[in-house]
Amino acid sequence: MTSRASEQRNPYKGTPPRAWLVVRFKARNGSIEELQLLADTGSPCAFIISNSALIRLRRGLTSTSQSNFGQMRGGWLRVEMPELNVQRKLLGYGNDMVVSTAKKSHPDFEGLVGLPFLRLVEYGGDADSFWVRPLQGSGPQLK
Amino acid sequence: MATLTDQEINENAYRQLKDSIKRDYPAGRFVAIDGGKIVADAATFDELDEMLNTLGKTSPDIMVVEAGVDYPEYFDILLPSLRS
Repeated sequence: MTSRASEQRNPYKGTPPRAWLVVRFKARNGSIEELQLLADTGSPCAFIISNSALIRLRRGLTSTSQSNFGQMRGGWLRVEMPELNVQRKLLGYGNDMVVSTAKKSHPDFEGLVGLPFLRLVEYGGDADSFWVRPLQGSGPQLK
Repeated sequence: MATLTDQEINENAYRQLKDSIKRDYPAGRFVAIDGGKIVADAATFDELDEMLNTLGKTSPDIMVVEAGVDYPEYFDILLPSLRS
């Protein structure tokens, strides 16, 4: 992972090569945890992580949903990425099958990051890497 | 008879309270459900968090919903190439 000013730029990784990000979460006990998440602009969920990570990191429950990967347990996750002007709670889901499927691409992947998070930043890619940076003219996104 | 977990109690309560939350709270208001009932509400999640802390309610099994938001009951996670 490289950083230019507040940009996070990551060379594609895995087989086949995938776009990915490191997302930083703040647990209720104040501890910070970073997860490498496969970037999927087609995902309607901000985050899909393992059930154990969701239990560790969630700040509150939301309703459980179903998916083509089975049950999705919902929870509020606090994203702590001031360098991207994103410090807010977002809905995440726990589903171990999604995580194990992502790990088939690369074992470092601990889930997916989807459009509800990506639309809070500017994102892009080229032949070699995928990057995110703060939205132009955006202030801190707190909610 | 199996005992319900706090999580299940709060999820079941949410299903029952869904319509009244929609009716009684302005859209965007954050509402907390614990022990099967509404225990607090606030304009932002952070305010609600503070309120819950003050009340000594710090369990991650407390349900928090945003009034006016319809949480999807089903998602299609595409990723066909990942599934193979």
